[in-house]
Amino acid sequence: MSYLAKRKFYYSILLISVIVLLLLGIFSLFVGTANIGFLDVCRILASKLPGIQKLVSTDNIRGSSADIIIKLRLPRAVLVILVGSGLAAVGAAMQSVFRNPMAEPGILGLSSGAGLGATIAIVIGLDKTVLGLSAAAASAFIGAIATVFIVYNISRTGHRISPTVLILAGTAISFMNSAVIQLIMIFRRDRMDYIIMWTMGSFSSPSWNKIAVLLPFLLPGLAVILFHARDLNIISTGEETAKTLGVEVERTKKFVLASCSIVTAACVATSGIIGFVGLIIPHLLRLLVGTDQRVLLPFSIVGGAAFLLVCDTLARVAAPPAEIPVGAITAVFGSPFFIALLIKGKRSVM
Amino acid sequence: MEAKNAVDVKNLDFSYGDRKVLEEICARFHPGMVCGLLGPNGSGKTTLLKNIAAILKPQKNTVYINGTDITDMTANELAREISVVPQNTYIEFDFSVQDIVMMGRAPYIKRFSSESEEDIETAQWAMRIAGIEDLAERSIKNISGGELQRVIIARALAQRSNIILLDEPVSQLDIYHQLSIMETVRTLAYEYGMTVVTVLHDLNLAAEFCDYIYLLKDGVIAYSGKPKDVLTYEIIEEVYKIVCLVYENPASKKPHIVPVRSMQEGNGSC
Ligand SMILES: Nc1ncnc2c1ncn2[C@@H]1O[C@H](COP(=O)(O)OP(=O)(O)OP(=O)(O)O)[C@@H](O)[C@H]1O
Ligand SMILES: [Mg+2]
Repeated sequence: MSYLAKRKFYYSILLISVIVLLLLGIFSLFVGTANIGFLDVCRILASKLPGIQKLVSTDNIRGSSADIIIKLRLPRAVLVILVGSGLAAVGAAMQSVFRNPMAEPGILGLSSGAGLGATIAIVIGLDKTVLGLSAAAASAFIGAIATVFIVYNISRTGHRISPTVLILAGTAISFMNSAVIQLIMIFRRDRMDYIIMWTMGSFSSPSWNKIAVLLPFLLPGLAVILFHARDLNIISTGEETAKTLGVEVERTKKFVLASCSIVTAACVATSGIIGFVGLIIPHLLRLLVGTDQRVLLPFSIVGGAAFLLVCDTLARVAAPPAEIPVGAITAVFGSPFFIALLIKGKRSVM
Repeated sequence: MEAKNAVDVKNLDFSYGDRKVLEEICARFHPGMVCGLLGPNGSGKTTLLKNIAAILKPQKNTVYINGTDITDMTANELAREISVVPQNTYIEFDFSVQDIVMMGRAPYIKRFSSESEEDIETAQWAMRIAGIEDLAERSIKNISGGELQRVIIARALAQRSNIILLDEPVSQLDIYHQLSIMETVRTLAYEYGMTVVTVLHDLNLAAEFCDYIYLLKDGVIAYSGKPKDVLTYEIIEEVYKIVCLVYENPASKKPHIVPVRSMQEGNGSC
């Protein structure tokens, strides 16, 4: 179905999706181990909103409830939404830049670089906090950016970058980073648990600080990606063709990949490696709303957020008091759904 | 003063790394004419076309449009002047035919604004000319190779450029569509005054539809001129290493080439 014919329709669906996402967000605040009623959640939230805070009374709500909502569940939900939207949008954009449906946020070695950065911080026992973030997170961010920098320079010839070489170099460096992480774990068995927990990715220690650190990377990054949506469509049909259609291909690739790297690095640094969202959500949405980035990117942002929010809520409440790693939930619930869609898509072709 | 919409190639050399592929190419392509680029595989036709379209970066002061050096033009300026139908197209993602044709309007649409009525009408006009109106809503992944080729031609037409470069535009088409597309291409030159440059492998189509032919061999222009002067059996034998007969087509009075056999060693006497 062509973009023009369905544009209006898509934008109304998008609006509905945003509302659904907000409702999911509120819903996620009232499920959890501590039993806080739905109305109490609403009242606690309202009491923090400027303007109407005087109208609601929170007298008969326990102070600990308010703390749980405001200091734990709300920042957690916000963090999950931000990371989900960032990873899914990056995946969608990268698939276009690389003209490769297997492209995902980790493809340039970002995730493994972050993992290595965090591992090093963990084993040398850095426990300072930087801007309210753990040393591991800061080190992960540096590791991710350093890895991309190396990968980028390997793939560059003059002022051009070859997507194929980028993917290969990214994959090679990923393997190397993972190998180094494993070696470090062998030599420092005492720290193994921390490292494994970190690399599995989780939102179990949310804070408003993390959000404040994440936002300045995430929002400009997403803005740059959205700004290039139409160019990404054209590049996804071939770089040479894109040039003849007036796209500044190399410049667009540089801007978009730099933004993707920064967004991914910030997401991974604040919440560890969360796979699957960046690969599958864009594809899932491609099957539903088509491949035009002007539609796909906004839907990926909302869809990635909603999907990760549901998964994280399940991770919190499925087996209390333990928490399941959210990465496991994304795969366990996402894969069958995706496979079902694939099979359905295949039938409609046959 | 340079003629409007003419393409001038002056002493163009091009190498891929150390490998020299084009040498001292001088050519001039005029508006209102269909120019053919002919030559055996690997002789440099695609490379020349990509230099003119600035897909490959030519040296300074070698390729001019309307007297302007193309290396001084932005991608967007070039896209309004030159459209390209590449030799091969493979599109990984599931766009509709109309989406692809609409991409031809990209040089005219500002960021964040959407397609105007005029853009939509132009795209429809292009699809009509290429004979693919019925395919508009089909997925680009579920159409035949020949249909895809016509979609790409429609996209180039939607660009409304003054110059169109085609790299083997009809090599995958059936005989009806070969003729109908070549007739369309000719209309672009004769009625719309466009400058048309097309690579062709079929010598007979070239003889019928080209007003002027550049024949490349190993990266140099070996011969150039009107079809009847270039497509002689001596020249064809020399450049393509084949034995052939050349008649005059009684309908069009153009040369008609009948290949007999290749001059490969061990393939009979020469
Ligand atoms: N990207 C490249 N890198 C290095 N050499 C190349 C590249 N592309 C083409 N060549 C070489 O340049 C020469 C000219 O290639 P070109 O594609 O221009 O030929 P062509 O005339 O279009 O041939 P064909 O009829 O097969 O399409 C060939 O020898 C080819 O091997
Ligand atoms: Mg060629």
